[in-house]
Amino acid sequence: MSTTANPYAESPAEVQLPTGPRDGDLAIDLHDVHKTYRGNIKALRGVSMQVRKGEVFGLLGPNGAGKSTLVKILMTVIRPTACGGNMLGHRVGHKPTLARVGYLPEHHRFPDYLTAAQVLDFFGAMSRVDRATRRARTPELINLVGLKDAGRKTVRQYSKGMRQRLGLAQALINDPDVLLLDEPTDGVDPEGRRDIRNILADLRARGKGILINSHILAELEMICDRAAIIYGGELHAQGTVNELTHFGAQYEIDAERPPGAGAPPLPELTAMGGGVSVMRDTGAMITIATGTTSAYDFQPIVDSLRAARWTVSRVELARPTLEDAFLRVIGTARAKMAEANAKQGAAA
Amino acid sequence: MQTWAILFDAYRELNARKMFWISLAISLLVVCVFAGLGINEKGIELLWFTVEIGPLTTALMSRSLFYKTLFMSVGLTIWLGWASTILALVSTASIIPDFVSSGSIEGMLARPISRTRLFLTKYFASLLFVVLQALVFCAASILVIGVRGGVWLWGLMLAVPIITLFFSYLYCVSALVGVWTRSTLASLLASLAVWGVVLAMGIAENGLLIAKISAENPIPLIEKDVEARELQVRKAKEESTDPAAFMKLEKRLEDRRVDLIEQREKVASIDTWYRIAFTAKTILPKTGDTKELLERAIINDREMEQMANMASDSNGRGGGGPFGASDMKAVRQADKINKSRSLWWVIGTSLLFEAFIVAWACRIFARRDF
Repeated sequence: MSTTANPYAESPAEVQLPTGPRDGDLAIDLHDVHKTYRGNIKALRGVSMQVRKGEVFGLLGPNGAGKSTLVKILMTVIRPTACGGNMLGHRVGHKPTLARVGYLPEHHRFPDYLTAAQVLDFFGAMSRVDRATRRARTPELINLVGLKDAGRKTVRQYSKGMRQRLGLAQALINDPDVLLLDEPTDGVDPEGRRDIRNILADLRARGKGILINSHILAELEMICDRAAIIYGGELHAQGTVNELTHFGAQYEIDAERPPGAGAPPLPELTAMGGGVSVMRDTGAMITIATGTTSAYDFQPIVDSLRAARWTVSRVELARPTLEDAFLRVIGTARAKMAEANAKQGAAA
Repeated sequence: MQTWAILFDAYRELNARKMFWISLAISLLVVCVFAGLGINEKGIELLWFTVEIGPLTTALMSRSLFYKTLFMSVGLTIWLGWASTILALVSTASIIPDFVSSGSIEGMLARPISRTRLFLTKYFASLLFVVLQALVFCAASILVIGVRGGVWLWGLMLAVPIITLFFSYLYCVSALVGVWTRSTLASLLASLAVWGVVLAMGIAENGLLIAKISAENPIPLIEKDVEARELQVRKAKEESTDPAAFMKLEKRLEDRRVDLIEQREKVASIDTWYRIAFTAKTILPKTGDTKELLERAIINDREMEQMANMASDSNGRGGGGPFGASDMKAVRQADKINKSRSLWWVIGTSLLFEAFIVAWACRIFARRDF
């Protein structure tokens, strides 16, 4: 099993995350992808990442981080400056492989004079799906994405959400082994988002590798198995959602003061060290952050509270959200970049 | 499969364009004009009336020639060659810029089809606008002329490939600028500008050819005159005529020699400019000459002669218009030279120009990051 660096980890023990897949399981395996635009604008600086078959992989990053560039390189829309690795066992840029790949571009515009069925038929033919299969799959996909009621309406009469649903359907017309979705829930209502999540879960169960590019981190957290965080053209973290949100996880303890009990043993608690802190103190109830993910380690806190005759009402392992993890990684990356720029400036 | 999909999509796109239907409606209107006109032994038929217009009867020109001339002058030159082409350029100018615009192109490039094939298929599919317009117009014209005049001019169908070729010379520029700038307006303006340059070059080359022939025509006469005068001078010298008369003869001979040199210099000067214009025209697409290929194909020698006689008759009556008799001779000679130019020169060199422009556009498309 290979390992992936976790550069935002603060202690040496957290530097390596056990996330590496076996080679045969990989749908996308990228090594050292670079893209430099004219004017020496570096959009990607040596990105390496893997997407397994049968998993949903989230690509996170702020605007201009290089997410779309990476996806476009995979889909041959942009030519990389350098790109190692492969997709479905073929080098990136191998056109015939794209017949096995589905793609939903960001801000896509389909021919607005076509109906949903015509869009699917056209893009199916472009993906070399034979006519009989296209005819069979078109009504299935229209039903699947909930566009059955659109009937003979042309795309120009569609709402943004309907267009997005149609975009997902066209990405599935060739029954792809790998699906690349750029902001798939952009403009979609909550019901539509749930439908899309269900479709993706079903595809994952069928062994498809799915790469999602999105800003909506709560959405990604619900559906992604693994994710990578990209900033300034570099990958700053990659791992399962649990691994990414591991840093900052800790047990929290709520304790209530019963009638007749004294003040909480705050000096004793804070004297324990190890990251113990009082998160909230209302007088009648306190919430304590234990600073540990070990049940063994927080027992002295419980003992101390009980000794003071306080009632322990809740003990919970609290994890940061993916958004918290994302903001932490981006903050660290930004600081590092600023530091590097400052050093460069000083050297100059 | 992919090629058919793109072609079928192009057809659907045309159906969705109002300009396509407007252009088709005007085509049918022009065909209705053909339906209203005819010629008989008394004069010109206008709907169900006969109007006597001078010698314009079947005695002067056959029904077949009348309809061919009508189709050439109104159908091909005015409608298909001008108005319909402008409508087509306006209507198709947005096809490539829309195709390469952000949001559209990603979905097309992310398919198992090479960029070169994708672009070329899209380019040729864009010509469908003109193919369909010309096809409907020619078929309707043949039908109407056949039913109305009893003459079935199947050769008019040649206008379909000819007009498509003519349009493609201009559309390739629109495609190049479209893929380069992604701007519909720039594409349209560029194709119109190139058309303007081509027309100007055609007019300049033809004008210089006429001027060259006009200047060349008197040379044999002057040469003959000089020879005659040389003989006269020699004779006068042998006969030892009056020195004053001899000098006068010599002076006239000298003047004619100077005339000859000046005329030859004039021809050489025009010839230099003509060669430049001819070279430029050879490089550029030959829109006018391409359209004239239809005339060459459907009007036979006898009819051509009939038309030439009619033209000289009318010039005779009208005093030759802006041209004198010698100029008219030069115009006819130039016309003959133009018509004798090879198919390779007319179409082959134009297609070379188009191939170069399309290859350039293709290169930009194949190398660009979208």
